[in-house]
Amino acid sequence: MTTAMIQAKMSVDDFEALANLPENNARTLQLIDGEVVEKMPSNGWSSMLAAFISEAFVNFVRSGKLGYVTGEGAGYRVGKDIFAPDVAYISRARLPRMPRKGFIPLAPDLAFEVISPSDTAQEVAEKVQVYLAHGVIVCVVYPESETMYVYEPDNRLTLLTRADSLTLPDLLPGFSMALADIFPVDDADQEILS
Amino acid sequence: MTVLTSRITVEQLTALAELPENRDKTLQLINGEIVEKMPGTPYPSLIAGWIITELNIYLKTNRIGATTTEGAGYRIGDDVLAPDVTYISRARQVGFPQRGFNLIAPDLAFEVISPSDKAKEVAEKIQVYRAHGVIVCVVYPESETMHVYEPGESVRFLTRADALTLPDLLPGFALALADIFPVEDDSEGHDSTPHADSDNA
Repeated sequence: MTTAMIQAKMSVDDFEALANLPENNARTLQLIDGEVVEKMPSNGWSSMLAAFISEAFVNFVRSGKLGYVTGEGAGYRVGKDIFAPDVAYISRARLPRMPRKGFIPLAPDLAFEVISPSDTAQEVAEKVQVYLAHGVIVCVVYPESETMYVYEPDNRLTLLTRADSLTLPDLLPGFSMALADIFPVDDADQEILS
Repeated sequence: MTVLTSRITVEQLTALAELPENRDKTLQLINGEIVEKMPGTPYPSLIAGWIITELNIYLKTNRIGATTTEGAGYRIGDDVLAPDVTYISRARQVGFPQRGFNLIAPDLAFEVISPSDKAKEVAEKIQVYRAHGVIVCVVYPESETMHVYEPGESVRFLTRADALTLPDLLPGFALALADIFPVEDDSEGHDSTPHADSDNA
């Protein structure tokens, strides 16, 4: 039996040093299973949906001073990985102050991953598993089928469609986001789409 | 409101699939769209082979149902899917039609993921299966994990150390994941991880 190391996995510390290099300042780097994965600018539609999701959360979270909502650039340390969810929420109870520099040293309470047409099933499955293993509720949003898979750390799965609303009674009591509000339908949007 | 694309019906797909030029193709209908199942890398197929082997060994002594492999098309609601491995109990169906798609959904379906499979397509399939009471096991060769989606609101995540059991459907059956993910020594002729085949960009 050979026990040769196939590939050295990068540590979070080495990754942080790499991300801090001047040439990487403008990049969104993630560390997934010891590998550096750059998050590339994606299509406008997915990003628009992410903005609608943020809107729903920012209003609720700020008025209640409950915590912080971040957009796609923010890196969170999730176990041995650094993820950049499209939208995330972290409570003040867990993160009293949002750091001005560096990655957020904790996993978020809630993460949204808005799927692009090029995202592979394998990558998404791995992320979901890592999030769940670290207690994160993860919402995977599929723009084309207008559905949202909500995975919770106790292995509950809720599949939401356009007619449903996302509620998070344990994490954000009183919060509700209608999926119809994040998947636009009007004619102007359809023209943009086609 | 404008209709962007017209959806194909199962009847139209059946007619199309019977055309001479389509005889050798595995056509699926997902959300009204025709999706051809293409030959892929061998590794997922190898894993599918192990799954069906274990199922058939069990079914040889427990004659409660039958399995099919990747070519079989099942009508599931308004879609036609060709799962990599399926199990259908005798309680639901005895024998298979000699022609055309199977009109009854399976009890259990396995989808073994290829490196090129897109997340959105897999999510759509899971949705269809769940809506029609099919248990679906999504197998991820690279991470050696299996996500088991059962009707109702739960999902199970299994790793190499676990075994898939389905006591209601297959009493006494246990599929050890270590048995379906071959270790490197099995893949003679390959010098490194056989499943790290990043053949697509």
